[in-house]
Amino acid sequence: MRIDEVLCALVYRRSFRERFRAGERAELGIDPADEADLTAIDLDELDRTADVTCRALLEASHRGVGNLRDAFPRSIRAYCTIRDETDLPFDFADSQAFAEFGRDAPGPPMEAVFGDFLETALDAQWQPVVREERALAVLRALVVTPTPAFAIPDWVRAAPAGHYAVVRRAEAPLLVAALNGRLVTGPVTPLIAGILEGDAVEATAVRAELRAMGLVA
Amino acid sequence: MMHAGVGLDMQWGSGFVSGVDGDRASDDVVAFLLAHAGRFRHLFVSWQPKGRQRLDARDYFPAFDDLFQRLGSHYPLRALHHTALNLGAMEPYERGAILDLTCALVERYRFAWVNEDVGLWSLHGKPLPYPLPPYLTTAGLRAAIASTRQVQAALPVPLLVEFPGFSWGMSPVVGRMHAYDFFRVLAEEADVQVTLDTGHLLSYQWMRGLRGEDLLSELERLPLDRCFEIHLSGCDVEGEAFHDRHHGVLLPEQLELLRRLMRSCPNARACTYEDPAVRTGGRVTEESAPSLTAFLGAVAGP
Repeated sequence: MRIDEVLCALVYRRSFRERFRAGERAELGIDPADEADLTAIDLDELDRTADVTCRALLEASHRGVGNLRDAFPRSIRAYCTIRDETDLPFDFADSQAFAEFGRDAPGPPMEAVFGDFLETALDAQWQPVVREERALAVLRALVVTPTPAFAIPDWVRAAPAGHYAVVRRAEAPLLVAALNGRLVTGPVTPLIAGILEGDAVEATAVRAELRAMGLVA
Repeated sequence: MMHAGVGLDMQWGSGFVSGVDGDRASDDVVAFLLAHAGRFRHLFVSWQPKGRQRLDARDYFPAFDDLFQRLGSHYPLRALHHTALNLGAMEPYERGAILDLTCALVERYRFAWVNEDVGLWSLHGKPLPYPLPPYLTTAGLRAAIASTRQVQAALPVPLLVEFPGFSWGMSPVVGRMHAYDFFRVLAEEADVQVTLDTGHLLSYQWMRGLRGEDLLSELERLPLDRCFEIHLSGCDVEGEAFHDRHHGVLLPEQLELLRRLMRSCPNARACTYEDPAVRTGGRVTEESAPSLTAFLGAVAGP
């Protein structure tokens, strides 16, 4: 690992910090040549920095969306049934999903990454809730940033009037769309969900309605 | 001749605001600037991202236009404090779009200089709530020199590199190089002018365990002859913790350091009171008002 990669891991990854503190330098892949520079780090100061930085991931507000706590209330309540809430920022920052964040530019937005983390961390029964909150957060972001600097996730589809996602769940599928600068959301029939997901079904009247909304060409 | 000026962190939602009639500067900020126009010659505004749109300078024009139209001919010298150049980064960092945007702002508003703290404003694309100090290593210094040269070459006005902060809680320092030496070599090798922030300098010496008169020591290790601008922003000491609070209240040590730097920096021309605590109607807080007066008195000299 290069020394900048080590600092990045020390700040965001609690598991890495703990092993670093325990002296597992070789096991972590740290170059012995960097040892002297790394021993300059005040480990208590590192803990304070990591604490502030990881908490900020959940508290930082994004225009049109708010912060991650605002955007994922039900998913976070579910998470708190399996882990202490105080662990959430550190679990997220230490996750594989977050490790990918920022690696490629442009990458997915933080809301999508946090949703991916929750989907992996929670039981399958919570998947529809996570996906619904993730879709609402990302589509809200697209309402205020129609040409975003971030990469639009592949589960978001482009439409003539904007973007949309269909969330499959036990009840009727949910449409979440950013159309002409407005958020449009609500349950749809399986037929409409199928058309929006690319099913080649005849349904002239339905297609005409979706075309009028700017959802399909 | 040293001039007093003011610097404002124009966060979206407070410094700049968006409404149904578009983007504009906050009335409180404009009221403050107009009320103090006779005391300050220069003004810098900090660039803050408006959102997560692809970078496009035109998204920023309405708010900046509104600010400078309302200021009229006041504050004839204007500058931009950057927050996204990431001069301390060692990893590859794409600056093309942000430099294009910066050049457009410099051209439109005739900013006389651009500055930024030499620090880590993000880590491998991951966000940081406050910038971290640069890597005080040989490789870290090489990276900072290369980035500074790249940015200076792209800008039509001087880039002033600012000595970074070492506040409690956000300063996990990598490397054993003395930060004053790091900064001096950076300025010399990249051939740029510098900004010395009194709170940042004190925070470094405080972090090293120095106290009292020793906090003001070793100034000769800094690139004093390259210093064009001096910053003072509100700082606070809480137990053993030094905080760069930007709350308008200056420590006595900051004013003493200002006096010494004014004597020691032959090319310093701008002295900036950074982030006044502006409240409703443009008034500053009662707590910070004496600091503003003391700052102006110190710049005016005996």
